[in-house]
Amino acid sequence: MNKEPLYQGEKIKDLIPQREPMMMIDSYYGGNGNEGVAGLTIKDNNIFCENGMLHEPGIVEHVAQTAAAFNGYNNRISAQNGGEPHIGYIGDVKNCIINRLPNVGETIITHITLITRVLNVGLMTAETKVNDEVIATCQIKLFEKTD
Amino acid sequence: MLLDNYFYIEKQEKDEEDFLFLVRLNTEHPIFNGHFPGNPISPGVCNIQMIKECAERIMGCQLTLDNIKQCKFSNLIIPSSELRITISIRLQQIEGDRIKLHGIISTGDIKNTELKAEGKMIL
Repeated sequence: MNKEPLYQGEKIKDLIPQREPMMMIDSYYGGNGNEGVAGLTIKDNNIFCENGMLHEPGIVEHVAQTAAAFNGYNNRISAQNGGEPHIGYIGDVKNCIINRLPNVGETIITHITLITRVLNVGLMTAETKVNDEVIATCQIKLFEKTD
Repeated sequence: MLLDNYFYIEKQEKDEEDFLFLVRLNTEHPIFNGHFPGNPISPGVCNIQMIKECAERIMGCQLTLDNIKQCKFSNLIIPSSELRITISIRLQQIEGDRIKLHGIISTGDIKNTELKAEGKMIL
């Protein structure tokens, strides 16, 4: 993983199709080959925050958008379809264990690994951390709409 | 979080073990501007959250779904004012403050989302 983000702020929109208030990553760090890493510093106006914590939908969406950014980044560097981010959908989520909900002000970093890809469906595993503490792990299947 | 804001419960009933909620979406909600611009789709994570909030209404307390064993999103939910959504929920208390939840979102004969999860009650 790179120490400095390759994409952050407005530039994230080059990698993912989601827009406010549904943007759940604010930085993308790249990764090698089958891996991608993205981060989010949790703000109190996040639509999935309540009582000072980011709740399950925010965490799972953050994971899904890390996967989407991984696809978006790879599409950009291979410049398919002009490199614009494709719309994608979660196909399924499996074995998603949440050890704790992260707090406003904390930065979560998700590391995804592509296990297999069949046509436009990618199966990935994800680990989400605050510093060195693993707060969530899951497996996610992401459909990418390529037309 | 989403109840009375992103979605509204129009009717709640019980059918043997299952609780049934008839709900509709707020098509004007800002989430649909961002997911996706010009192409509104109910985010899968919002579908999970709607199931959870219906379960919270049954339990009378907040829940954290800390173990989503599986959630399948087999058909997209595209918001419209005519769309009538049914959320069916089966709950089982497993031990102490832990519950098992099985939730299905459907529109007519179409199954959109099926969630199998465990969680803890926030008492």
